[in-house]
Amino acid sequence: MRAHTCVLNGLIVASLGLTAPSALAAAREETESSTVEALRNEIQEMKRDYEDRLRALEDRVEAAEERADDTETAAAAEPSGGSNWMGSAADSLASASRAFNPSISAILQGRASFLQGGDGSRPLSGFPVGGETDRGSGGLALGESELVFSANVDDKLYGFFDVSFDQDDIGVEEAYFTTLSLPAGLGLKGGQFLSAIGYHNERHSHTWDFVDAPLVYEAMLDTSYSDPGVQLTWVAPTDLFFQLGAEVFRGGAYPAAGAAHRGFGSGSVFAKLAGDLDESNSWKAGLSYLRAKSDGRESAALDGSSVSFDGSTDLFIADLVWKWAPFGNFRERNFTFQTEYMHRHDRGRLATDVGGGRYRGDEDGFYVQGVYQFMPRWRFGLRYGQLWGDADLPTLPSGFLEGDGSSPKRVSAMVDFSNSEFSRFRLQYSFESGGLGDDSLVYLQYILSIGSHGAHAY
Amino acid sequence: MQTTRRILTAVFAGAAILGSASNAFAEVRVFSCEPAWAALAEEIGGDRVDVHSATSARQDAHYIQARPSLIAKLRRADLLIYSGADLEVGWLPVLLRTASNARVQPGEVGHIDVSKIVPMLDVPTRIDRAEGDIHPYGNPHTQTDPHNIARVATVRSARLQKIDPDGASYYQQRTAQFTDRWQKDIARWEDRGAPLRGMKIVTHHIAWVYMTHWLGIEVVGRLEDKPGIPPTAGHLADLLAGLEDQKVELIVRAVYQSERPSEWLSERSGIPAVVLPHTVGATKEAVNLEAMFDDMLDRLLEARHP
Repeated sequence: MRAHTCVLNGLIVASLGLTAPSALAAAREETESSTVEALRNEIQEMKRDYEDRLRALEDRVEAAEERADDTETAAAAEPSGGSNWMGSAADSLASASRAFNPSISAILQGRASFLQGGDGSRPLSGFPVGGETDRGSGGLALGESELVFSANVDDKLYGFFDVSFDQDDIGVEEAYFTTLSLPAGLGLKGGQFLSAIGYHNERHSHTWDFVDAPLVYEAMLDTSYSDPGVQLTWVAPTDLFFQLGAEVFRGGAYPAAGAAHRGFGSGSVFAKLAGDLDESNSWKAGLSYLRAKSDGRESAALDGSSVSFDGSTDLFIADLVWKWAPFGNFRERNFTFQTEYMHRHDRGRLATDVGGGRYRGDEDGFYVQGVYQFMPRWRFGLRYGQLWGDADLPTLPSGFLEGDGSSPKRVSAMVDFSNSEFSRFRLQYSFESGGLGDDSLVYLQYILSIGSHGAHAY
Repeated sequence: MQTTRRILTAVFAGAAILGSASNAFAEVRVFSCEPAWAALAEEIGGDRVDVHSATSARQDAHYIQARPSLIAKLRRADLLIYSGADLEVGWLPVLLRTASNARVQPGEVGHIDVSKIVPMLDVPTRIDRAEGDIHPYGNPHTQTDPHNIARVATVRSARLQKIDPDGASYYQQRTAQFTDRWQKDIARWEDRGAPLRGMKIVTHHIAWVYMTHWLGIEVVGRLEDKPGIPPTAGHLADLLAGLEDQKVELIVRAVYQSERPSEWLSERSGIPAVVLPHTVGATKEAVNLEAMFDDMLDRLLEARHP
């Protein structure tokens, strides 16, 4: 009964505070005996008053427990915000002082990078148009630090707003609403958000298992595809998870550019299937297709000069994730395996400093990774990624875009330590080849979360 | 494109076949986040409910992946019940949003947050994560006090009657039977548990406050220095040093917690370490709610009178 008792105590203290001064003022003017009498009466009255209040509150509490109709607070399962304020008085009082609406959290990220061969964005040899790796800044740098606000807008909508700050700029990471209760398993999302294509695309950088995104994501999606748009999803009424979705985007972000088709420049469809093998093993698989239109998509050639692409891009992604934890208890030990394969086809025209013309490019890439939590708080991970490019550039000098035609690769190993669910410290080593040379990269990174407790997707 | 189309067709067909195989006979589909509330749903709902528990006794309900299989289950549920007070905060919000199921959203008849029904203990007056993973709404492990089970039973029954009016009298009858039996059980447990009053124990996590509050047991130490932060060697050594003149009788942990810290302490202090059933299915004896409390008392009494 402690929560309810607390509320009752609070009310008693409050009413004492209100009635006591008047009692004292009256008492001063009375004789001593009548003072005692007056106080006694006052106390009796107050006592009766509290008893009535107590009884009334007890009745209400009891009624709330037993009646169990809609007025009993079924507050949101949100971190702390998103609460439903239509609850009973006792419940609202108990939680009012502790709840925020919306829930607010800040993600702090930073790192020290030791980069052989230089920092920043670097074109990939053998991977013709647009592909580059982003190593970030060398030395000490602020990572993507985020400020996140989220809450249920009302009983039908949920809103999410995430601004990110890094070394050089401030940007809207995501700002969207989703519906909570459309019929038939339908969901609608609108605003600027990370596309649901692939597996890794929707994940924010603070939930990545490595410091950087997989090589194939950097090359084909400039780390991740996020754009203003709308998304419609449908979850099938089956025991096996089956989801279909379609998205339409403005088409301003890579691999689209220029918001073609009057601002409806790209679109995607995806299907996801997932289930549990047993208590310890679960899996998820997906197929996605993105079509993006480019009006003047800028990228860098190997010599640093600018290349501009007009045309269309088709991107296919297949992804597979498998997670294991003994008896499904992720606290002690767990293992996650994940892999994605992408195929991209560019078709259109190129303009470069040394000429232009018709262009067709076929590009493939994949990554495979495993992360093992071998004891509470400690994880170890390995990742391998590779790309292949094949360009048809009839009018351009050979080697201008594709370099030596080598196949870019990156292998990474990391170990991280989490003191609590809110902190993580990571050491990562990567070896890259097929850029401008063979380079070793070492990162030390922290990821911290303050504010309300976040919830993460599978 | 031809292959993509073929794959998609196969996926559709597969999903349709698997979907049709699920239980179509029950009137109400219940999605419970913990096994204790699932067991209670079966006590009250009988044949009219199809109950799914999102977690098992072997899992720490705070560290669950928002698995798509859970989304698929919640998508079709008519009633959601969970411990609340931020226990499921890392995954349930994702399930609720992705499942797009209007029937189980907050504020609906099909949404029961246990922490809003039972009186909460350990509600912090100060919220600072330097204290560990504290829960602003209080300690969520409410199911270890049988009085709380009774409170939830009443609310649950009322909700089932609303969701499935045809079964109202059935639920009323089962609830009456259950409550009657449960009150007798509580009297019996409190009678048996009387010698436990004042017993001193050490627990792994803060998961036992409702039990110790109910039985008058005193928790004199915890293996986790701060809630949610795994036991460290340094803290265990301090704890061991502090136990010498305390007359501690038992070291308690839940089945999903590593046995190493409690066994380390047990070996050095000579105090027995034991797994107590924190929910249904946590020990092989705890096959249902009644058996869970029977076993809890058996194990505590055995330590009291070796």
